Amino acid sequence: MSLVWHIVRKDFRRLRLPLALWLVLVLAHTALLASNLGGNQANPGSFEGLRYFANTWGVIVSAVGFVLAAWLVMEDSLVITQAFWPTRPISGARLLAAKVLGAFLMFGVGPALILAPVWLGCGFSLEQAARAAGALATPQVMLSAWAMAIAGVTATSGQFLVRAVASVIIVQVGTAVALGKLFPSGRAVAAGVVESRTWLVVAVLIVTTLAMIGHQYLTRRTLRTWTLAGLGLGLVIAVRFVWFWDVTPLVRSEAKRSGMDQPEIRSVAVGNPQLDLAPSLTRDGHAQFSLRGAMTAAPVQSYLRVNASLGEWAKGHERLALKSLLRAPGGSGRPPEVLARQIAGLPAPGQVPDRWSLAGDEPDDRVEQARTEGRTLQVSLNLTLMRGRVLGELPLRVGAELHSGATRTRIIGLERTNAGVLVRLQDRDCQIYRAGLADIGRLRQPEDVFVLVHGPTGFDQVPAQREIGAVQINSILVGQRELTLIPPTRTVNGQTEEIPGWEDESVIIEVRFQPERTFIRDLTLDPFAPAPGR
Amino acid sequence: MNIIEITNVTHRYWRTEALRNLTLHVPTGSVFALLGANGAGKTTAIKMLMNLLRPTTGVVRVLGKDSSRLDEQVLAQIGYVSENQQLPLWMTVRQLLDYCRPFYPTWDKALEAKLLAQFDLPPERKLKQLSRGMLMKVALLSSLAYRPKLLILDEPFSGLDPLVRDEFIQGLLEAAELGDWTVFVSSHDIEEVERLADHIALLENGRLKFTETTESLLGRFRRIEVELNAPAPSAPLPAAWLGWRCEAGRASFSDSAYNPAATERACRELFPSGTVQAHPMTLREIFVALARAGRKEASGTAA
Repeated sequence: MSLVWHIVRKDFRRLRLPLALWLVLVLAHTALLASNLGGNQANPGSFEGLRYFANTWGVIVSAVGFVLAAWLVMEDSLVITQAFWPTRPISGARLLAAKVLGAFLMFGVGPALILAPVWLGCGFSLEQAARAAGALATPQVMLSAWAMAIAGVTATSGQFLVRAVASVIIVQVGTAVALGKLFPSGRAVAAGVVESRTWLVVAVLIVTTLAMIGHQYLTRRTLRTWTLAGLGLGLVIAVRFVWFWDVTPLVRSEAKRSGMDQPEIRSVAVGNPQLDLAPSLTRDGHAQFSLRGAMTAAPVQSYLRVNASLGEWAKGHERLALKSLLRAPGGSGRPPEVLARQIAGLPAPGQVPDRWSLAGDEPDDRVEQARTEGRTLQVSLNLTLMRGRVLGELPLRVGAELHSGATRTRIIGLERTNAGVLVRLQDRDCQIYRAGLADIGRLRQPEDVFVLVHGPTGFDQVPAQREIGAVQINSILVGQRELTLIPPTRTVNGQTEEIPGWEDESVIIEVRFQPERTFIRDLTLDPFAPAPGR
Repeated sequence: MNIIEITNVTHRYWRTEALRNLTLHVPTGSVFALLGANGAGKTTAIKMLMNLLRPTTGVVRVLGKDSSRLDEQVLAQIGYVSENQQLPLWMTVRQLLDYCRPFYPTWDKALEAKLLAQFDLPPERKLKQLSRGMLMKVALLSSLAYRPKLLILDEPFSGLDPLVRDEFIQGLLEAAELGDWTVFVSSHDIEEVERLADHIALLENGRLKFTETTESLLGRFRRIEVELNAPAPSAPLPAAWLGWRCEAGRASFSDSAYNPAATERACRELFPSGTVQAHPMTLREIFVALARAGRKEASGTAA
């Protein structure tokens, strides 16, 4: 082991300058955002610019990390016969151990260590910082593994760049073929099979990458290592033609999928689903589905958010996925105002709405085929339990701040307009990246509701809210929102007038609904059944 | 006991045959020179010894181990210096030595210090700032300090100016006195090899022409000069007589199987009235004679 560390130390000494440069890039990328780049001047346009800048910088950071990983390998080349290390008592296994350890320290531990002060300075808890470190390290380590696999069979930096670009294209094309996105065939398959294939493709790519690295280090037989790469690519493409099984239940138990393992969710029921099928008004040659229904028994202080959901044509056990996801109409995932008021401790007569709806479209020919084959529509209604709590209060003045854990909300602007008073909020938060249907198309995972309260009169209002923009880098989310307040009024001599100085006596309460658990309710609908009473 | 055994080895780069059916045994304790022109296959053979290349067919054994399975223990007993080796040029001389040292249980720090002084190397200078000759000395130092049982040198004199070459060989000879080892050196630089080698093998176009001790080789070659007092003989000459030339009543050739009595007898039969003189040959002269004969043979075969 000491010799492994000896090689690691040598590599760190060799790469110390480019590594330091890369870490500065990583730190600057995150720190600039964490310090609220853009400040009070941000508007939707400049926010888009910031997002573009941040994403471009992110790509540069990843690309430099990729090249650095390749440099780490090519420093002790596995291909050229003039290399120094093979003529010394260093086994391939020992060199491999040193390179893996070095890559892990450089691309996993290094960025996490350098960003830890930033995360902790942003109010992250230790657990959040650890999860953020994991979220940062995982893709970087995987990218490094890819770079190492290519560099291991490459002699020169020029060759490496060409092969890296070629490998990206080849893997993209291979994956697209495997998942039926390229050269689609007539045969559709169930969503579970598509998901299983995706897992399989990812698994094959990971195993192939690791096998290439291991094989090349242990044998230095470059031609055979290339053969392994070809075999992996062949397997990826073959997945589409040989794999027709849904193995997702082996990984996700039914109880976990449907949330039945959690008593609060067990009682959530979706009743009275209704389905309308009509020609699409927006897409030629498509039919539009509109689904709606009711929900019962959302747990206390929470509501159920409807997310993008999968739909499948079903006949017995055979299922064919719809061409696209069913989505909740805009704004329908917002927390109910009445619930936000209740959580804020304000009088809130009325009930939390219990309606849900989804919409989607499907090519006419596939609908017709389903009709002919007597299929039903199976919908996996994707729901998230959103639990609400009060984060705190903000006095209504520019510069007022609210701190709660890693969440910081600040008023950066107040402006009077004909519509009312515009309040611009800037916020910073911890948001760990999650990949899942529940987060598709969402800038933020939690949902916030702001309630204006005028103390002396007890006037309260949930103002209209508009998202200006948000950027997330390395688990730090920075965004801006705009609230439109209608000033409280009073009647004097039969005239309605704005209460003078109401701003000084008002606060904005921030109620946050945090996603707690995502689960599925299965619905079976017959879109071709004659409507009752027709 | 042979420290290197190459048996029926062929190596092809795609369709080009770099080595053909090579069999070569290097005795332990010898200084063995593998000679040949550029492209003869010397470097290919050496790379197979170091497991940098694999034979297409045949077996290579080094220190009793199949070269394709050389482990750390065996490599710790082999020193390797090559003109083409890519040293880590970003290191200083001291950093290179510090890096190499832990890999060798037998590393001798006192010997390292002695060689450092003897080779007059600047320890704090980066390798990329050193001349070619200095670089070869650094490579040699980093390959001698652990007293290897086998030292493999691939074209070590190539590109060195005469002064540095002399220093390098001197260093090698002095180091040789420090330990009991075998040296396997490939070169096309015949004079330098003559000072070092006690065994010699010649490669030509990937084939082994011969392998024998230097003493035996120098002993069996003579340049023969004959003063002809009569016309040149028309009878066929012995096959061992290479490079026959006859000008102005004077003939000369190289006898590759010189034996004083037998050569004299053959000369008397062919040149009854001639005066025969036999001169010792240097390795260079022997190789020039062999190369010319080989070329003539090749053109004859082609015709």
